[in-house]
Amino acid sequence: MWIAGLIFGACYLVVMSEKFNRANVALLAAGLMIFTGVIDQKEAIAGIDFNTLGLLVGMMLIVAVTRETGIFQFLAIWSAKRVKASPWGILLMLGLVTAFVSAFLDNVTTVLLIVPVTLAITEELDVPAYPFLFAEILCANIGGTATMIGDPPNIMLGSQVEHLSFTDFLVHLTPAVALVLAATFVPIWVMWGRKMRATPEARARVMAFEARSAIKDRGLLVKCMLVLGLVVAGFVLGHSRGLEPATVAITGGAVLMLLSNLGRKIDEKNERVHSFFGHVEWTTIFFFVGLFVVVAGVEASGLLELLGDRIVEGAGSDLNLIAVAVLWVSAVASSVIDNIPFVATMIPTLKGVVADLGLTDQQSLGLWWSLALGACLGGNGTLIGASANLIVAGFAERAGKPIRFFTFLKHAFPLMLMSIAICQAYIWFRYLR
Amino acid sequence: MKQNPVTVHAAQTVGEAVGVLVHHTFRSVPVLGPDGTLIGQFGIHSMLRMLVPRIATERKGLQHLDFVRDDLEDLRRRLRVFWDRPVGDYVENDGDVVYLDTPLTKTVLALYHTHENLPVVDRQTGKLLGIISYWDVVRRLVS
Repeated sequence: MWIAGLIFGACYLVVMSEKFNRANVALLAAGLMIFTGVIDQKEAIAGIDFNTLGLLVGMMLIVAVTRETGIFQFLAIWSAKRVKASPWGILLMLGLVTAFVSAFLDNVTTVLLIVPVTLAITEELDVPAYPFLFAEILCANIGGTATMIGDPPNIMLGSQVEHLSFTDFLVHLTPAVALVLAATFVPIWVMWGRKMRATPEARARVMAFEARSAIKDRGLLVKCMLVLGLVVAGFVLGHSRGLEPATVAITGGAVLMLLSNLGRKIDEKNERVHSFFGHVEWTTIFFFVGLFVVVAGVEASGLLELLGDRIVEGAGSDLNLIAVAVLWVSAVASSVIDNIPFVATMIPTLKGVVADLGLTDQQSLGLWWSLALGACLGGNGTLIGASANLIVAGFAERAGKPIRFFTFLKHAFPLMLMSIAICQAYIWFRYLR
Repeated sequence: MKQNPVTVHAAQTVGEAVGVLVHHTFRSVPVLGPDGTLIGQFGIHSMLRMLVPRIATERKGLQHLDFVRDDLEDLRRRLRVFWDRPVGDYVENDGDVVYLDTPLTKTVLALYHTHENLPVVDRQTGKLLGIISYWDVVRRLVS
């Protein structure tokens, strides 16, 4: 057991240090789990959750095709013009667009596509970009919490906790997310929104933007919307028919690539498919592979079972206390460490807790939603809390408007705590009383 | 190599540097720091960057600007924002420089890649010694 614990702990610490590539570290730790005999080859392969991987790859392929259409730039410009280019209105609309898109696509992709347009708009308006970028970071992580496919912790939960379906995430998490989203805009308005001003000339420049010109390929856009709609329908209807989300997403990705290449020569088709696969974040995928094997190793060693037992003992078998602790610990932990390894470890641990307490699927919901809300929203606490935050910070830096770590911390951490307090009230009233 | 080339100082304004480019029809001009060391070049490329939203010129930034409908007056307005700022803040310092002992082939390859005149710099002091252009190489080749 101690060898597994040692490899796991070292892997965690080195990933946290950010001195090495996290996929590299996870794969090395996975190899060590096998070489040291903690688990054998078959157990390692069995530990890899191909449903999570398939879902991620499938959605990344769909996004790779969809981004070519220019729909995201269109949405950003269209929403800016809907509010007559008023700075606060634009901040609000771009935040809502970011949250909505993040619910269905991964957060990193969403900010990669929305933030450049935001920077162009704020430059035209001659207003500080920071409040806009700050709101988009928060909204990306909040929106991603709403669905099973919005954020990696939810993807893992949806794949590994058999009784949680796509619809369950929508029904149980979306109300909490809507509350958090609405509450988040209040302090943003108080801090910046009420003071934002732009000259009539600057607003006229934004109003002169032609949203329709942002759409690059209308035919492809129709195909993307059709496939995306079918994929979401597949997620909703597939669960009861034993259809895994990965199957739906991968099939959707394959169909969309095929449709996007209709009428092209074979060389061009090959080149485009190659380019679509190039947009898949393979580093993240292999990070998951390594991590699943590492967690399988610790699980096989009995360490997670022991941890689960300790949690139950410590909380005196009080489900309410455990759920609240999971929510807050997940949030604080996810604001400083990568939430992917945290959730990968917590899922088997909580499965142990559910078994120890003899909870039914229905009774365990409060626990799972506490983990999802805490791990996803916790990413808002610091600039390093989620990948999307770092992507936005990178853009801001390159655009000459750097986001400072402590400035962000000062604004974001209290808002993250507020969101978790709202979630605690939600969980308490809906699942625990 | 052309010695004593036209230069501008980092504290001079963007407007003055643009004036130098236009007057001499230069693609770029070396920019010197207070101690006379080369800090980079300011050229037509640096100026064109000022005419579009900055994020469009950054890696992985905006892929296109088809939705922006600027006219000549809009472009003038964009340039005016930078006109009185110090040119030292807008130099391109990621370009190649060569030294007196840089092999000729390496210099030719640098000229091929940059399409620009290359500053020749003293390796020890970082001071500008002159400028080498592709014309210098071509003229010597055919003379």
